[in-house]
Amino acid sequence: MFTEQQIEKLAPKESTFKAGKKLALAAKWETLEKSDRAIWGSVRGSGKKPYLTQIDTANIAYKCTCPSRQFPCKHAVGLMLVNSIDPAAFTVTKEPDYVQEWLDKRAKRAEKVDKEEKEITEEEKEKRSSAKAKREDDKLKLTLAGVSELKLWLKDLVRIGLLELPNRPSAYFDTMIERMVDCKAPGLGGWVRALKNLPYREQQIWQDRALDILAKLFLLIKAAEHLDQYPDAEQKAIKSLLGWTFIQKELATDPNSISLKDRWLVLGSHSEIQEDLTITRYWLYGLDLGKDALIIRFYNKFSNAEHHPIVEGTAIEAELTFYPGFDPHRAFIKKQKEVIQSLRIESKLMDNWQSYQDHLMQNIQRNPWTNNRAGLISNVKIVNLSQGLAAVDKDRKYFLLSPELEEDKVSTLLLNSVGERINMAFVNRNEGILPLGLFIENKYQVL
Amino acid sequence: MIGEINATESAERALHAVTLDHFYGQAGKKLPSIDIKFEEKSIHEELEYASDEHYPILQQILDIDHQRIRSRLLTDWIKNVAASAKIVHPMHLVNYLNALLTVPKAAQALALPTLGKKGAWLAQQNSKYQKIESSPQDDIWSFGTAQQRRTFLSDLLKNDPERAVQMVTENWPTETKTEKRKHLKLFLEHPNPIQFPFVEHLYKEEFRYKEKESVTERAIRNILAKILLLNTDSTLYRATQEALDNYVVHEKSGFLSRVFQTERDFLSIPDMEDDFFNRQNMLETYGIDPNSSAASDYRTDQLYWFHALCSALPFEMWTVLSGMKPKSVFKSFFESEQYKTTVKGQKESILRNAFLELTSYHSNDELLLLLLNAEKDLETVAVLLSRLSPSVWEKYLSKNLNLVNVKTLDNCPHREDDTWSLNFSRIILNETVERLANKTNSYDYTIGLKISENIHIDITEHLLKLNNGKVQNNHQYGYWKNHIFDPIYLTVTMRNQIHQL
Repeated sequence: MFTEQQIEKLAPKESTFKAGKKLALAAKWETLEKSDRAIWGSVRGSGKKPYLTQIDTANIAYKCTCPSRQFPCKHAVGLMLVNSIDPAAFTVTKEPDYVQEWLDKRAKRAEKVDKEEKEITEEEKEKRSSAKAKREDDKLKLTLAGVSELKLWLKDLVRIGLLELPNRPSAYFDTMIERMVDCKAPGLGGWVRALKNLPYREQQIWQDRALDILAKLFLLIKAAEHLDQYPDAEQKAIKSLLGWTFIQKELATDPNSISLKDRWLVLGSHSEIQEDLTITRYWLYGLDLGKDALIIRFYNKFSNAEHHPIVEGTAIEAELTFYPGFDPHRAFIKKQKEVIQSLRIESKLMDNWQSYQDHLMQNIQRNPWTNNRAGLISNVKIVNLSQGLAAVDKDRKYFLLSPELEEDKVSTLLLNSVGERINMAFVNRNEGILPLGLFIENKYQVL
Repeated sequence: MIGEINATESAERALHAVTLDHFYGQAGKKLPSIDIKFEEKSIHEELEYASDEHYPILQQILDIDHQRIRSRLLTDWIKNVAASAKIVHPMHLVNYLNALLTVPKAAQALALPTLGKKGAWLAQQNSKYQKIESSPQDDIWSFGTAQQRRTFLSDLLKNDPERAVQMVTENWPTETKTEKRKHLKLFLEHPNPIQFPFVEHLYKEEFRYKEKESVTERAIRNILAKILLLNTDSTLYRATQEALDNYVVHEKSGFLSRVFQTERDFLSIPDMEDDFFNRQNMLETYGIDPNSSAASDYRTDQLYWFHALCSALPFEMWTVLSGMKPKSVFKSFFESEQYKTTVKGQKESILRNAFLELTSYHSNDELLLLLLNAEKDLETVAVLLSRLSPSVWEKYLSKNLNLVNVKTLDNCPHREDDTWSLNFSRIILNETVERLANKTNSYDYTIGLKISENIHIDITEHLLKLNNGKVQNNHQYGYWKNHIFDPIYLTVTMRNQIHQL
């Protein structure tokens, strides 16, 4: 299943992981058993009866009879840890009734959702559809009003002079960000936030980036203004860029949605905190189709663990559904079959940066706002240039590394790169390439 | 959409132009390339990397909260990797180096060969890791602070006495007198025959008595004399033994006294100065401070000097001189009225402190056991226990289980990486369970951690047996499980895993 580091990421709190670690020894469990789709065990706790803990290993899910509100609880964490450290401690056996019932119920529930969708009458469908169209129409009006307001704001900005940007108070940006949220266009608010957060102390950098942001934002405004001129799929893509959310359940059943089955290698993740919200981006790569995908998850302090936890360095055999887009790459897990722990990777890596650049240009043609695209490249070397660290290919072409890369990861990258060229997974961020992991002897290792 | 700039408003035209310019520029963007030749640094490891099985265990160790257990297990892990002449894979080196920052210097030194060339390279590049890197060893001796140099010398005297003496000898002319005194004090704390020629030379030449000498020079002679007296072949030892023989009261060799060798007052310390017990001889030969205020605590100056000699002479000398068994010699010294003095209203032997001082650098299990049996102060008992050899310590504690507590166990004389014998490990666990059953437990929440540091690796079966036994029904089971069983079980299991790697 998972490694210790991966399980640590699944634990809802550091304290849960630590408590789980204390249960990570086989001798502490009264029973440890497994089947091809689950592991389960019983452990003595403070209650009279031992707690029964079970984990669905195919579609990661946890259940425990303990009264804890943590999810997964320390017993589930402990059980996963025992499995990672000492898998031989589990006896392969027939699932007991309580495990079988739980797993069957989960499978039935998934089927039931599909079935319910199918059982709705035509009349009901039409009713729902017209109500939805009305809601969307109202929402669009609101959004377009916001678009006009933002355009005016941008023009004012130009009139005052862009050199005044560093002197603008936070409130100047915040008011507009809030306004965009009110207008159901948080995507536009994101661009304003990017303007607010520019590194204004570094003159050359902020000016270049400000122009990039203004260009992309203005293009998006123009696209929104001409929304009705686009085909339906592209309208959805623009709405997605504006920040409209799409209900996963609807996308999963929409015949026009793109869904792809593959063995998705989780290349890495990056988290950022906005107020009380943690936004984590996971980059995945389809080992058979060679397509990249981005899964974004939002957590706050009340969030429970996800139904399908994503663990860096593992591969998941799953079907991903993609959100609408010009070149769709943001996705969610529609169905997960299995977590593959140790895998020989034989995907084709790009030979040089030029191939990646060509690929990127094609993406930009389809989607001028493209960003956060993952890729795999072979034979690069990490070199310290005057502008910063760079990944240099065998043709001496390079991309600068993103300053977001943490110090320890930089050290690991340098250690692996010194004296030899490396095969690397990365993601293209605004400020440069963010290395995610390395391919070492056909195994993928997250940085 | 933006192909043509047709807006009428100047601000919008500007935004339009910015957008066009951006995408036009991006479409024709060429990748930058490096023109200058960059240094193709190459580091090739000659040693093999530790196997994949090593790293999950390393991660488990690093996740342990308790620093001492983490450090202990990490040391075991390092030894395992070092023993098989393997090195840590670069993917795990940063984690490993971060962990090494938290372990004692000795463990860091052990880890050096496991870093490989790449690890050493990173340690040089990153100032954070420089204190782990090896090169400062000699640098510390040449350029370190006084405290760093002393720590370095102390470690070296324990681990490589020959090199320690060599380094001190090489640097000797450049040291100040104060530093010389401190170095020699470390020699005395870690005596070794390899020191004797150098010490004898200093005693006879540089610190030979001069009419006008500083307090430090006198103190150095005192230390040198103490070191030389530990060498039964030294001229000073032999001369001292010969001189003291003159004060031995030889008993008539009756049959009974030969058989029973009962204790008796076998020495007669003079009340007046004579050829041996005089200020000048004590100062010149032994560096004993003639003006010490401590002398006033003794009935005569002669007794003060005798006390000073007792704190320097190996206890064996007295058994040779008296022809009595150590126990009788000890009893004589502790019970004879001539050595008694009054401390806080209580009469005690002046030799108690002398022997406490002697055992601080010259450990002698026989003398320590005699002192322990006579000692009433528990703080002093704890100190004396820590000076016993490991096997004698285990034997003594096994018979005196009332002395088992965190402090005693914490000061066990075993080397940091040594374990207790399996039998002693069992005794300690049994005693812990027994105390729970008898409700004589003192609820020390660190005792389990302490035991886990030194407990024998094969204790698991016994530990599980105890855990499944009567302790289950004890109302203090939670305390046992969380604070004793869990840390011990975790440590022993992990150490076994490391051994099986």
